[in-house]
Amino acid sequence: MRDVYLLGVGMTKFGKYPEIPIEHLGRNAVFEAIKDANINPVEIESAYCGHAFQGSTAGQRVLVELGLTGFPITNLENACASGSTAFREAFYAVASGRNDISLAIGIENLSNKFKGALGPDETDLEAKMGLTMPALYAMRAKRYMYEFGLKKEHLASISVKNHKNALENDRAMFGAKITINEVLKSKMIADPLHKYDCNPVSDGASAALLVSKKVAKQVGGRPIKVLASALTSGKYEPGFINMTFEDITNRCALSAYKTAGVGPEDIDFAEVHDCFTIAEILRVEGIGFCNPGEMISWIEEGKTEINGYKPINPSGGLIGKGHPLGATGVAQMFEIARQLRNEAGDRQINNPRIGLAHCRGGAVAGTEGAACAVHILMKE
Amino acid sequence: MTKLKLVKERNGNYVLNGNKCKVCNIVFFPKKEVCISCFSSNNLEEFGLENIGILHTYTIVHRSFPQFNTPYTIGYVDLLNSGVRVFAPIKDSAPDSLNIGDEMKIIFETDEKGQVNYYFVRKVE
Repeated sequence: MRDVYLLGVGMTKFGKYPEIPIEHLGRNAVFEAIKDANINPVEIESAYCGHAFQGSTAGQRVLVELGLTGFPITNLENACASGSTAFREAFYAVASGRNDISLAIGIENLSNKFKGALGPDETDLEAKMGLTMPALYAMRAKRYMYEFGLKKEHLASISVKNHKNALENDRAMFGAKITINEVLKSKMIADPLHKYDCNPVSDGASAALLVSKKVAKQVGGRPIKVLASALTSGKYEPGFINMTFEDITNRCALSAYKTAGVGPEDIDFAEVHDCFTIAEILRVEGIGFCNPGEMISWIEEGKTEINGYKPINPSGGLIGKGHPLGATGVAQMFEIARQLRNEAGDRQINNPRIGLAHCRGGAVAGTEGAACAVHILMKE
Repeated sequence: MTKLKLVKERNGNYVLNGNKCKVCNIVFFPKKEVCISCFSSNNLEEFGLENIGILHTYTIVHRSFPQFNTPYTIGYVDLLNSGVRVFAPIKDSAPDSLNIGDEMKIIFETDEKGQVNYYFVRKVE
Protein backbone atom coordinates (compact mmCIF):
# COMPACT_ATOMS: atom_id res chain seq x y z
CA MET A 1 0.00 0.00 0.00
CA ARG A 2 1.23 3.46 -0.89
CA ASP A 3 0.99 6.62 1.18
CA VAL A 4 -2.04 8.76 0.30
CA TYR A 5 -2.40 12.51 0.73
CA LEU A 6 -5.43 14.75 0.96
CA LEU A 7 -4.49 17.64 -1.30
CA GLY A 8 -7.67 19.61 -1.89
CA VAL A 9 -11.10 20.06 -0.34
CA GLY A 10 -14.27 21.89 -1.32
CA MET A 11 -17.81 22.17 -0.06
CA THR A 12 -20.89 24.26 -0.58
CA LYS A 13 -22.41 26.07 2.32
CA PHE A 14 -24.93 23.60 3.75
CA GLY A 15 -28.52 24.84 3.77
CA LYS A 16 -31.90 24.35 2.20
CA TYR A 17 -31.74 24.56 -1.56
CA PRO A 18 -34.91 22.96 -2.91
CA GLU A 19 -34.47 24.92 -6.16
CA ILE A 20 -30.82 24.07 -6.83
CA PRO A 21 -30.21 20.84 -8.75
CA ILE A 22 -27.87 18.42 -7.04
CA GLU A 23 -25.63 18.50 -10.13
CA HIS A 24 -24.92 22.19 -9.49
CA LEU A 25 -24.25 21.76 -5.78
CA GLY A 26 -21.86 18.91 -6.61
CA ARG A 27 -20.16 20.87 -9.37
CA ASN A 28 -19.43 23.80 -7.04
CA ALA A 29 -17.83 21.58 -4.41
CA VAL A 30 -15.69 19.71 -6.97
CA PHE A 31 -14.60 22.97 -8.61
CA GLU A 32 -13.45 24.35 -5.26
CA ALA A 33 -11.55 21.14 -4.40
CA ILE A 34 -9.69 21.22 -7.73
CA LYS A 35 -8.72 24.89 -7.22
CA ASP A 36 -7.72 24.14 -3.63
CA ALA A 37 -5.50 21.24 -4.72
CA ASN A 38 -4.04 23.26 -7.58
CA ILE A 39 -4.00 20.32 -9.96
CA ASN A 40 -4.88 20.05 -13.62
CA PRO A 41 -8.40 18.55 -13.65
CA VAL A 42 -7.68 16.38 -16.69
CA GLU A 43 -5.26 14.42 -14.51
CA ILE A 44 -8.07 13.03 -12.33
CA GLU A 45 -8.12 9.28 -12.94
CA SER A 46 -11.18 8.11 -11.00
CA ALA A 47 -14.08 9.45 -8.99
CA TYR A 48 -16.31 8.02 -6.25
CA CYS A 49 -19.59 9.68 -5.44
CA GLY A 50 -21.45 9.00 -2.17
CA HIS A 51 -25.15 9.77 -1.78
CA ALA A 52 -28.26 8.15 -0.38
CA PHE A 53 -31.22 9.47 -2.39
CA GLN A 54 -29.93 11.23 -5.54
CA GLY A 55 -30.85 8.63 -8.13
CA SER A 56 -28.90 6.63 -10.63
CA THR A 57 -25.36 7.68 -11.68
CA ALA A 58 -25.49 10.98 -9.80
CA GLY A 59 -21.67 11.23 -9.82
CA GLN A 60 -21.60 11.25 -13.62
CA ARG A 61 -24.35 13.90 -13.67
CA VAL A 62 -22.27 16.11 -11.38
CA LEU A 63 -18.97 15.67 -13.21
CA VAL A 64 -20.35 16.23 -16.71
CA GLU A 65 -21.03 19.81 -15.57
CA LEU A 66 -17.25 20.31 -15.50
CA GLY A 67 -16.47 18.09 -18.49
CA LEU A 68 -14.77 15.62 -16.17
CA THR A 69 -15.65 12.46 -18.06
CA GLY A 70 -14.07 9.44 -19.68
CA PHE A 71 -12.62 7.80 -16.54
CA PRO A 72 -14.20 5.37 -14.05
CA ILE A 73 -16.92 7.01 -11.93
CA THR A 74 -18.52 4.87 -9.22
CA ASN A 75 -21.58 5.71 -7.13
CA LEU A 76 -21.82 4.48 -3.54
CA GLU A 77 -24.67 4.29 -1.05
CA ASN A 78 -24.12 3.66 2.67
CA ALA A 79 -26.82 5.90 4.18
CA CYS A 80 -25.28 8.76 6.20
CA ALA A 81 -21.82 7.23 5.75
CA SER A 82 -22.03 7.30 1.93
CA GLY A 83 -19.57 10.22 1.64
CA SER A 84 -17.03 8.56 3.95
CA THR A 85 -17.38 5.39 1.93
CA ALA A 86 -16.64 7.34 -1.26
CA PHE A 87 -13.62 8.93 0.43
CA ARG A 88 -12.38 5.49 1.42
CA GLU A 89 -12.71 4.16 -2.13
CA ALA A 90 -10.79 7.14 -3.52
CA PHE A 91 -8.18 6.53 -0.82
CA TYR A 92 -7.80 2.89 -1.88
CA ALA A 93 -7.67 3.83 -5.57
CA VAL A 94 -4.48 5.74 -4.76
CA ALA A 95 -3.15 3.46 -1.99
CA SER A 96 -3.40 0.41 -4.24
CA GLY A 97 -1.28 2.09 -6.90
CA ARG A 98 -4.08 2.08 -9.45
CA ASN A 99 -4.41 5.89 -9.59
CA ASP A 100 -2.28 8.89 -8.72
CA ILE A 101 -5.26 11.25 -8.37
CA SER A 102 -8.72 10.22 -7.28
CA LEU A 103 -11.74 12.34 -6.43
CA ALA A 104 -14.25 11.73 -3.63
CA ILE A 105 -17.60 13.49 -3.83
CA GLY A 106 -20.49 13.61 -1.35
CA ILE A 107 -23.83 15.04 -2.41
CA GLU A 108 -27.41 15.23 -1.16
CA ASN A 109 -30.46 17.34 -1.73
CA LEU A 110 -33.01 16.35 0.93
CA SER A 111 -35.24 19.40 1.21
CA ASN A 112 -36.91 18.75 -2.14
CA LYS A 113 -37.51 15.11 -1.16
CA PHE A 114 -38.43 14.78 2.52
CA LYS A 115 -40.45 16.44 5.21
CA GLY A 116 -40.29 15.48 8.88
CA ALA A 117 -38.35 12.66 10.44
CA LEU A 118 -36.17 10.36 8.38
CA GLY A 119 -36.29 6.66 9.16
CA PRO A 120 -34.61 3.41 8.33
CA ASP A 121 -35.54 1.93 4.94
CA GLU A 122 -39.33 1.72 4.65
CA THR A 123 -39.16 -2.07 4.46
CA ASP A 124 -37.50 -2.15 7.89
CA LEU A 125 -39.74 -3.89 10.42
CA GLU A 126 -39.16 -1.35 13.18
CA ALA A 127 -39.64 1.68 10.90
CA LYS A 128 -43.02 0.29 9.86
CA MET A 129 -44.01 0.24 13.52
CA GLY A 130 -43.07 3.89 14.06
CA LEU A 131 -39.32 3.89 14.73
CA THR A 132 -37.93 7.18 13.42
CA MET A 133 -34.21 7.99 13.66
CA PRO A 134 -34.79 10.64 16.35
CA ALA A 135 -36.89 8.09 18.29
CA LEU A 136 -34.11 5.51 18.18
CA TYR A 137 -31.59 8.02 19.55
CA ALA A 138 -34.14 9.28 22.09
CA MET A 139 -34.38 5.73 23.44
CA ARG A 140 -30.61 5.48 23.60
CA ALA A 141 -30.54 8.80 25.48
CA LYS A 142 -33.17 7.54 27.95
CA ARG A 143 -31.14 4.42 28.57
CA TYR A 144 -27.93 6.46 29.00
CA MET A 145 -29.74 8.68 31.52
CA TYR A 146 -30.85 5.58 33.41
CA GLU A 147 -27.39 4.00 33.45
CA PHE A 148 -25.15 7.02 34.04
CA GLY A 149 -27.31 9.86 35.39
CA LEU A 150 -27.11 12.05 32.29
CA LYS A 151 -29.41 15.12 32.43
CA LYS A 152 -31.24 16.90 29.62
CA GLU A 153 -29.01 19.91 30.33
CA HIS A 154 -25.91 17.89 29.38
CA LEU A 155 -27.47 17.08 26.02
CA ALA A 156 -28.48 20.70 25.55
CA SER A 157 -24.94 21.96 26.19
CA ILE A 158 -23.69 19.88 23.24
CA SER A 159 -26.26 21.64 21.08
CA VAL A 160 -25.12 25.01 22.45
CA LYS A 161 -21.46 24.19 21.66
CA ASN A 162 -22.07 22.93 18.15
CA HIS A 163 -24.31 25.84 17.19
CA LYS A 164 -21.67 28.20 18.59
CA ASN A 165 -18.85 26.53 16.60
CA ALA A 166 -20.99 26.72 13.47
CA LEU A 167 -21.34 30.44 13.96
CA GLU A 168 -17.64 30.78 13.05
CA ASN A 169 -17.97 28.49 10.02
CA ASP A 170 -19.03 30.19 6.78
CA ARG A 171 -20.09 26.80 5.33
CA ALA A 172 -22.42 25.96 8.22
CA MET A 173 -26.19 26.18 7.94
CA PHE A 174 -27.15 26.76 11.51
CA GLY A 175 -24.67 28.88 13.43
CA ALA A 176 -26.38 30.45 16.43
CA LYS A 177 -25.83 31.75 19.91
CA ILE A 178 -28.36 29.76 21.86
CA THR A 179 -28.74 28.92 25.53
CA ILE A 180 -29.42 25.64 27.28
CA ASN A 181 -32.85 26.98 28.13
CA GLU A 182 -33.63 27.70 24.49
CA VAL A 183 -32.69 24.13 23.55
CA LEU A 184 -34.96 22.77 26.28
CA LYS A 185 -37.80 25.04 25.19
CA SER A 186 -37.54 24.08 21.50
CA LYS A 187 -40.19 21.73 20.16
CA MET A 188 -40.14 18.17 21.51
CA ILE A 189 -39.25 15.66 18.77
CA ALA A 190 -38.92 12.41 20.74
CA ASP A 191 -38.52 12.60 24.48
CA PRO A 192 -35.88 13.64 25.70
CA LEU A 193 -34.69 15.09 22.37
CA HIS A 194 -35.86 18.55 21.40
CA LYS A 195 -35.62 20.18 17.99
CA TYR A 196 -32.21 21.68 18.76
CA ASP A 197 -30.91 18.28 19.85
CA CYS A 198 -31.38 17.09 16.25
CA ASN A 199 -29.53 17.88 13.06
CA PRO A 200 -31.54 19.95 10.60
CA VAL A 201 -32.65 18.54 7.23
CA SER A 202 -30.19 20.03 4.77
CA ASP A 203 -28.73 20.04 1.30
CA GLY A 204 -25.18 20.42 0.10
CA ALA A 205 -22.13 18.90 -1.50
CA SER A 206 -18.49 18.30 -0.68
CA ALA A 207 -15.40 17.05 -2.50
CA ALA A 208 -11.88 15.90 -1.71
CA LEU A 209 -8.87 15.10 -3.88
CA LEU A 210 -6.64 12.25 -2.82
CA VAL A 211 -3.22 11.89 -4.41
CA SER A 212 -0.05 9.83 -4.32
CA LYS A 213 3.14 11.04 -2.67
CA LYS A 214 4.61 11.74 -6.10
CA VAL A 215 1.79 14.12 -7.03
CA ALA A 216 1.76 15.71 -3.58
CA LYS A 217 5.46 16.50 -3.97
CA GLN A 218 5.06 17.87 -7.50
CA VAL A 219 2.18 20.14 -6.60
CA GLY A 220 3.54 21.25 -3.24
CA GLY A 221 0.95 23.01 -1.14
CA ARG A 222 0.08 21.64 2.25
CA PRO A 223 -0.70 17.96 1.76
CA ILE A 224 -2.18 16.04 4.65
CA LYS A 225 -1.37 12.37 5.05
CA VAL A 226 -4.25 9.92 5.44
CA LEU A 227 -2.96 7.60 8.14
CA ALA A 228 -5.92 5.22 8.18
CA SER A 229 -9.24 4.50 6.52
CA ALA A 230 -11.50 2.05 8.35
CA LEU A 231 -15.03 0.94 7.51
CA THR A 232 -17.25 -1.60 9.21
CA SER A 233 -20.87 -2.66 9.54
CA GLY A 234 -23.02 -3.35 12.59
CA LYS A 235 -22.96 -6.92 13.84
CA TYR A 236 -26.18 -8.91 13.96
CA GLU A 237 -26.23 -10.09 17.55
CA PRO A 238 -29.19 -12.10 18.73
CA GLY A 239 -30.03 -10.98 22.23
CA PHE A 240 -29.51 -7.78 24.09
CA ILE A 241 -27.38 -5.17 22.29
CA ASN A 242 -25.76 -2.56 24.55
CA MET A 243 -27.51 0.67 23.54
CA THR A 244 -25.16 3.01 25.40
CA PHE A 245 -21.82 1.80 24.08
CA GLU A 246 -21.27 1.66 20.35
CA ASP A 247 -19.59 -1.54 19.35
CA ILE A 248 -19.69 -0.52 15.66
CA THR A 249 -17.87 2.76 16.38
CA ASN A 250 -15.43 1.15 18.78
CA ARG A 251 -14.42 -1.68 16.43
CA CYS A 252 -14.01 0.78 13.57
CA ALA A 253 -11.89 3.20 15.62
CA LEU A 254 -9.68 0.43 17.03
CA SER A 255 -9.03 -0.80 13.52
CA ALA A 256 -8.12 2.73 12.38
CA TYR A 257 -5.80 3.29 15.37
CA LYS A 258 -4.03 0.01 14.63
CA THR A 259 -3.44 0.92 10.98
CA ALA A 260 -2.37 4.47 11.82
CA GLY A 261 -0.07 3.41 14.64
CA VAL A 262 -1.58 6.03 16.92
CA GLY A 263 -3.99 5.92 19.84
CA PRO A 264 -6.79 8.19 21.05
CA GLU A 265 -4.24 10.06 23.18
CA ASP A 266 -2.43 11.18 19.99
CA ILE A 267 -5.50 12.65 18.33
CA ASP A 268 -5.83 16.42 18.75
CA PHE A 269 -9.47 16.81 17.70
CA ALA A 270 -12.32 14.93 16.06
CA GLU A 271 -15.28 15.47 13.82
CA VAL A 272 -17.87 12.89 14.92
CA HIS A 273 -21.31 11.95 13.67
CA ASP A 274 -23.50 14.05 15.98
CA CYS A 275 -26.81 13.44 14.21
CA PHE A 276 -28.29 14.04 17.68
CA THR A 277 -26.72 15.43 20.86
CA ILE A 278 -26.76 11.97 22.50
CA ALA A 279 -24.94 10.66 19.42
CA GLU A 280 -21.94 12.93 20.09
CA ILE A 281 -21.64 11.39 23.56
CA LEU A 282 -21.86 7.83 22.22
CA ARG A 283 -19.31 8.55 19.45
CA VAL A 284 -16.71 10.22 21.68
CA GLU A 285 -16.87 7.30 24.12
CA GLY A 286 -16.98 4.84 21.22
CA ILE A 287 -13.75 6.15 19.67
CA GLY A 288 -12.13 5.66 23.06
CA PHE A 289 -11.49 9.28 23.99
CA CYS A 290 -13.04 8.54 27.39
CA ASN A 291 -14.80 5.73 29.25
CA PRO A 292 -18.52 4.93 29.12
CA GLY A 293 -20.36 7.51 31.22
CA GLU A 294 -17.35 9.82 31.44
CA MET A 295 -18.70 12.27 28.85
CA ILE A 296 -20.97 13.68 31.55
CA SER A 297 -17.99 15.13 33.41
CA TRP A 298 -16.25 16.03 30.13
CA ILE A 299 -19.25 18.18 29.19
CA GLU A 300 -19.34 19.78 32.63
CA GLU A 301 -15.61 20.58 32.40
CA GLY A 302 -15.78 21.93 28.83
CA LYS A 303 -13.26 19.36 27.57
CA THR A 304 -14.85 19.14 24.11
CA GLU A 305 -14.91 22.89 23.46
CA ILE A 306 -12.63 24.36 20.77
CA ASN A 307 -10.13 25.46 23.42
CA GLY A 308 -10.69 22.29 25.50
CA TYR A 309 -8.66 19.13 26.02
CA LYS A 310 -10.18 17.30 22.99
CA PRO A 311 -12.19 19.62 20.75
CA ILE A 312 -15.15 17.79 19.20
CA ASN A 313 -16.89 19.02 16.07
CA PRO A 314 -15.13 22.37 15.66
CA SER A 315 -17.02 22.75 12.36
CA GLY A 316 -20.32 22.78 14.24
CA GLY A 317 -20.87 19.10 13.49
CA LEU A 318 -24.03 17.82 11.90
CA ILE A 319 -26.15 19.78 14.38
CA GLY A 320 -24.58 23.15 13.61
CA LYS A 321 -23.35 22.67 10.07
CA GLY A 322 -26.25 20.65 8.68
CA HIS A 323 -26.38 17.04 7.54
CA PRO A 324 -26.94 16.43 3.83
CA LEU A 325 -26.45 12.68 4.27
CA GLY A 326 -24.03 11.78 1.48
CA ALA A 327 -22.16 15.10 1.75
CA THR A 328 -21.40 14.79 5.46
CA GLY A 329 -18.46 12.36 5.41
CA VAL A 330 -16.50 14.33 2.83
CA ALA A 331 -17.39 17.64 4.52
CA GLN A 332 -15.73 16.29 7.67
CA MET A 333 -12.51 16.11 5.61
CA PHE A 334 -12.98 19.75 4.66
CA GLU A 335 -12.90 20.68 8.35
CA ILE A 336 -9.97 18.36 9.14
CA ALA A 337 -7.97 19.96 6.31
CA ARG A 338 -8.89 23.51 7.38
CA GLN A 339 -7.87 22.79 10.97
CA LEU A 340 -4.63 20.97 10.14
CA ARG A 341 -3.62 23.83 7.80
CA ASN A 342 -4.47 26.41 10.47
CA GLU A 343 -7.05 27.95 8.14
CA ALA A 344 -10.08 27.71 10.39
CA GLY A 345 -10.22 31.36 11.43
CA ASP A 346 -12.07 32.07 14.66
CA ARG A 347 -12.78 28.39 15.26
CA GLN A 348 -9.12 27.39 14.86
CA ILE A 349 -7.84 24.80 17.33
CA ASN A 350 -4.40 25.56 18.72
CA ASN A 351 -1.98 24.09 16.13
CA PRO A 352 -3.39 20.55 15.78
CA ARG A 353 -1.30 17.76 14.22
CA ILE A 354 -3.69 14.79 13.97
CA GLY A 355 -7.44 14.80 13.37
CA LEU A 356 -10.02 12.02 13.30
CA ALA A 357 -13.27 11.83 11.34
CA HIS A 358 -16.05 9.48 12.44
CA CYS A 359 -19.15 8.97 10.35
CA ARG A 360 -21.86 6.37 10.61
CA GLY A 361 -25.06 5.65 8.85
CA GLY A 362 -28.21 3.65 8.65
CA ALA A 363 -30.29 1.45 10.88
CA VAL A 364 -30.97 -2.21 10.25
CA ALA A 365 -33.21 -4.02 12.74
CA GLY A 366 -31.23 -6.53 14.78
CA THR A 367 -27.93 -4.67 14.36
CA GLU A 368 -26.45 -1.63 15.98
CA GLY A 369 -26.16 0.32 12.73
CA ALA A 370 -25.48 -0.19 9.05
CA ALA A 371 -22.11 1.44 8.34
CA CYS A 372 -19.37 3.21 10.26
CA ALA A 373 -16.22 4.86 8.94
CA VAL A 374 -13.22 6.27 10.80
CA HIS A 375 -10.40 8.18 9.10
CA ILE A 376 -7.26 9.53 10.73
CA LEU A 377 -5.29 12.33 9.07
CA MET A 378 -1.99 13.97 9.95
CA LYS A 379 -0.26 17.17 8.99
CA GLU A 380 3.27 16.52 7.64
CA MET B 1 -40.18 -10.52 -0.94
CA THR B 2 -42.23 -12.85 1.24
CA LYS B 3 -44.14 -11.03 3.93
CA LEU B 4 -42.82 -11.79 7.41
CA LYS B 5 -45.25 -13.68 9.58
CA LEU B 6 -44.55 -12.14 12.97
CA VAL B 7 -47.41 -13.65 14.90
CA LYS B 8 -48.77 -17.19 15.09
CA GLU B 9 -51.53 -18.97 16.94
CA ARG B 10 -50.73 -21.48 19.66
CA ASN B 11 -53.45 -23.27 21.66
CA GLY B 12 -55.96 -20.55 20.80
CA ASN B 13 -53.63 -17.71 21.83
CA TYR B 14 -51.31 -15.56 19.77
CA VAL B 15 -47.54 -15.58 20.29
CA LEU B 16 -44.62 -13.94 18.53
CA ASN B 17 -43.46 -16.28 15.81
CA GLY B 18 -39.76 -16.96 16.17
CA ASN B 19 -37.50 -19.91 15.53
CA LYS B 20 -34.62 -21.52 17.33
CA CYS B 21 -31.47 -23.34 16.32
CA LYS B 22 -31.52 -26.67 18.16
CA VAL B 23 -27.75 -26.98 17.96
CA CYS B 24 -26.70 -23.45 18.89
CA ASN B 25 -29.66 -22.75 21.18
CA ILE B 26 -30.22 -19.25 19.75
CA VAL B 27 -33.73 -17.83 19.30
CA PHE B 28 -34.44 -15.61 16.28
CA PHE B 29 -37.23 -13.09 15.97
CA PRO B 30 -38.16 -12.39 13.24
CA LYS B 31 -37.36 -15.91 12.02
CA LYS B 32 -34.14 -16.57 10.14
CA GLU B 33 -33.83 -19.13 7.39
CA VAL B 34 -30.21 -19.82 8.28
CA CYS B 35 -28.68 -19.95 11.77
CA ILE B 36 -26.10 -17.17 11.98
CA SER B 37 -23.91 -19.26 14.26
CA CYS B 38 -23.67 -22.72 12.60
CA PHE B 39 -24.74 -21.41 9.17
CA SER B 40 -27.09 -24.35 8.70
CA SER B 41 -30.76 -24.25 7.75
CA ASN B 42 -31.43 -27.80 8.96
CA ASN B 43 -31.41 -27.22 12.71
CA LEU B 44 -34.09 -24.54 12.96
CA GLU B 45 -37.37 -25.30 14.72
CA GLU B 46 -40.48 -23.23 15.38
CA PHE B 47 -40.35 -21.23 18.61
CA GLY B 48 -43.14 -19.14 20.10
CA LEU B 49 -41.81 -16.32 22.28
CA GLU B 50 -43.09 -15.61 25.80
CA ASN B 51 -45.34 -12.56 26.15
CA ILE B 52 -43.78 -11.04 29.28
CA GLY B 53 -40.60 -8.96 29.46
CA ILE B 54 -38.71 -6.03 30.93
CA LEU B 55 -38.77 -2.50 29.47
CA HIS B 56 -35.21 -1.76 28.30
CA THR B 57 -35.93 1.77 27.06
CA TYR B 58 -38.73 3.81 25.51
CA THR B 59 -39.67 7.21 24.14
CA ILE B 60 -42.72 9.32 23.44
CA VAL B 61 -42.57 10.35 19.77
CA HIS B 62 -43.91 13.81 18.94
CA ARG B 63 -42.74 14.15 15.32
CA SER B 64 -42.91 11.19 12.97
CA PHE B 65 -43.52 9.94 9.45
CA PRO B 66 -46.60 11.52 7.79
CA GLN B 67 -48.72 8.36 8.16
CA PHE B 68 -48.41 8.27 11.98
CA ASN B 69 -50.58 10.18 14.45
CA THR B 70 -48.50 11.74 17.24
CA PRO B 71 -47.80 11.58 20.08
CA TYR B 72 -47.28 7.87 20.51
CA THR B 73 -45.04 5.74 22.69
CA ILE B 74 -42.64 3.02 21.57
CA GLY B 75 -40.11 0.89 23.34
CA TYR B 76 -37.83 -2.12 23.47
CA VAL B 77 -38.74 -4.99 25.78
CA ASP B 78 -36.33 -7.77 26.72
CA LEU B 79 -37.86 -11.25 26.74
CA LEU B 80 -35.52 -12.85 29.22
CA ASN B 81 -36.33 -16.53 28.57
CA SER B 82 -35.96 -16.28 24.80
CA GLY B 83 -33.08 -13.84 24.95
CA VAL B 84 -34.78 -11.60 22.41
CA ARG B 85 -35.33 -7.83 22.48
CA VAL B 86 -38.61 -6.85 20.81
CA PHE B 87 -39.61 -3.45 19.48
CA ALA B 88 -43.26 -2.36 19.51
CA PRO B 89 -45.65 0.49 20.33
CA ILE B 90 -46.58 0.89 23.99
CA LYS B 91 -50.19 1.64 24.94
CA ASP B 92 -50.39 3.40 28.27
CA SER B 93 -52.68 6.09 29.63
CA ALA B 94 -49.79 7.83 31.43
CA PRO B 95 -46.62 7.15 29.40
CA ASP B 96 -44.72 9.84 31.33
CA SER B 97 -44.78 7.55 34.36
CA LEU B 98 -43.22 4.57 32.55
CA ASN B 99 -39.89 3.45 33.94
CA ILE B 100 -37.03 1.48 32.48
CA GLY B 101 -37.22 -1.91 34.20
CA ASP B 102 -41.04 -2.02 34.25
CA GLU B 103 -42.57 -5.42 33.61
CA MET B 104 -44.40 -5.36 30.27
CA LYS B 105 -46.86 -7.65 28.55
CA ILE B 106 -47.40 -8.20 24.82
CA ILE B 107 -51.01 -7.73 23.68
CA PHE B 108 -52.27 -8.94 20.29
CA GLU B 109 -54.97 -7.15 18.33
CA THR B 110 -56.59 -7.94 14.98
CA ASP B 111 -57.02 -4.91 12.70
CA GLU B 112 -59.77 -4.28 10.12
CA LYS B 113 -57.72 -6.02 7.42
CA GLY B 114 -57.49 -9.13 9.57
CA GLN B 115 -53.83 -8.65 10.34
CA VAL B 116 -52.71 -9.44 13.88
CA ASN B 117 -50.58 -6.65 15.38
CA TYR B 118 -48.92 -6.47 18.76
CA TYR B 119 -48.08 -3.83 21.31
CA PHE B 120 -46.86 -3.58 24.90
CA VAL B 121 -48.74 -2.63 28.04
CA ARG B 122 -47.53 -2.39 31.61
CA LYS B 123 -48.12 -5.73 33.31
CA VAL B 124 -49.68 -4.05 36.34
CA GLU B 125 -51.22 -0.69 35.63
